[in-house]
Amino acid sequence: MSDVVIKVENVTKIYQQNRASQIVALDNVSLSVGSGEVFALLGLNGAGKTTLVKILLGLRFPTKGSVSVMREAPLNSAVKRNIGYLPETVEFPGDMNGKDVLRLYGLISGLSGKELEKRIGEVIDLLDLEGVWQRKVKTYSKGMLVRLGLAQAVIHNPKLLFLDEPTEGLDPSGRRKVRNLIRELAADSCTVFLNSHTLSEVEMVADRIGILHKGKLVVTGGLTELMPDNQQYFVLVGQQPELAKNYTVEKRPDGWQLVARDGQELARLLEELRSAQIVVQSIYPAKTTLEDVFFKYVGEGGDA
Amino acid sequence: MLNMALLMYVVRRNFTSAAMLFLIILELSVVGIIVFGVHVNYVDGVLTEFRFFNHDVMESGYAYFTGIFLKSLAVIIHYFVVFFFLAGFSSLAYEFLESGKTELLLVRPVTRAGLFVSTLSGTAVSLAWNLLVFAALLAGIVSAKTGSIVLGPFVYGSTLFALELMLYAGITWSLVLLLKSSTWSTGIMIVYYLLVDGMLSRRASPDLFGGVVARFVSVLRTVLPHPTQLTALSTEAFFDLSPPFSYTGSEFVRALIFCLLLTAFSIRGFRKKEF
Repeated sequence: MSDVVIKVENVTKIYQQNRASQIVALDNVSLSVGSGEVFALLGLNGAGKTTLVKILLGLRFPTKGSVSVMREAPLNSAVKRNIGYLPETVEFPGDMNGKDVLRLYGLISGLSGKELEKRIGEVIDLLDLEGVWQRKVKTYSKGMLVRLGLAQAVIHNPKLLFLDEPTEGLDPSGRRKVRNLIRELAADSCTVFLNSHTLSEVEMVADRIGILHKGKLVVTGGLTELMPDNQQYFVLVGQQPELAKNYTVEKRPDGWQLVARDGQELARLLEELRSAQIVVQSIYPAKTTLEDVFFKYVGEGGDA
Repeated sequence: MLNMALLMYVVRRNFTSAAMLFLIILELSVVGIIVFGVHVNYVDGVLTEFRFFNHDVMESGYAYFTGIFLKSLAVIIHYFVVFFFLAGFSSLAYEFLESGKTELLLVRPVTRAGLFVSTLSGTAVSLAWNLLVFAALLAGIVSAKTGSIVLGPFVYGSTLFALELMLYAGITWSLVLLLKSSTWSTGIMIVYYLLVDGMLSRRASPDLFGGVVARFVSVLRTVLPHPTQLTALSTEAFFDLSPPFSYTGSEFVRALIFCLLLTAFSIRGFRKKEF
């Protein structure tokens, strides 16, 4: 792994509700994220994703264990200067317009003068806020708020970006833009820590993932490592096949689907189908999706 | 930088509001009434005189009543505006401490103590404004009475009033933080002040809350004279700068120490708060 930007060591976070009950939000979690990586933390609602991000941002404190961001404690001012954050629920002062919000957060991030105005123009352009920046924030739709949230997160060119559900509330075009933005930032050596449960989006942008389940980190790894090229093939035929060998057969709206577990079995299956004079409609390799990986570790009902 | 940014927010948030502009105009007109000693004289419902600085007119008949009425009204409006401002800035501070916005501030290169102090400076803007207005108001009263500006009571009264407002602001802030962070320290400080200081102040006031609250009540009593007292209220009594605008030295110091301790403990609590 390249330079370690985020290091989490044996972190446990317990929320004490009252004397009798407590919630273990994180249970002995350890992970590292390297420079320029797009790391996605996945998990069901309440798995502890937001708690971990807030600990990394210094907004909450671990009960046990330690975290370091850019080799420093999260509360270090030098670290904060290089961090951008989009929270799950984006809130801004409603009576300000979009540009003033960007100016406010830009100022607090250490930008000023021409540099600030230049960056405001750039992020307005980058996140398609051109037509709305003069409107009061309280009139913004959910999608516009998310875009403004992203704009304030990147206005100071951070080296590490925390995004909590960045595509929530965005239309397909907005989602694509966010994906492109994430990839562009990563190409510029910005590390992106993504919190999401939109698995299809994650699959398209993440280099590595971690799955949190009930406060425990059940797996971490690269997408290629967790989703290896599958050897299985699906063969679709138009009529119900009666073959000598037992294949897994599934009825689908457009025909019957047979499964060959490897290339050799596929060759045998095609031979048998030809002998039986059954027309093959299509053959395609089975691909493990991130959803398959996710449910493998979390269980269908989240009860793994 | 944070201060500047927050101040920009405060100014925009408040001074673009039509309601706030209306209040400022109202407040300025109040100051106008007091400072320039605008007196009107009605005889049988007909306006017969409209003068500036005509002290003699106030000593007779309708004009006297009108003068008292206008001044009472002016002071009431002033207090209304003062507390509107204080409430406004406190709610503003609260808004900034709301989870979503606070997170976005705290992940930037600011310290928690810095954020606390900067938001507190929003309240300080309110205090400065009111100090200015009250100074003008007091100068107007003194000028109308003596015919010349007297700086002594002007400065004295303004300083005391500023201190009083700081106390209110400190308590408001502490309550906001108490609600937000449930810090034991802030709670203990408030209990300390209400009980210990209250008991110490019993000599001066039988009220349990002693100092601040009793003083606030006495201010209201002064500006809201009972109707039967109104006619008996002499110009001398009205211009009297004795309580509620006077504090003893020890009260002054005690209140100041309380303010500082309250702020220090609140900052301490805020630094431990999780968002």
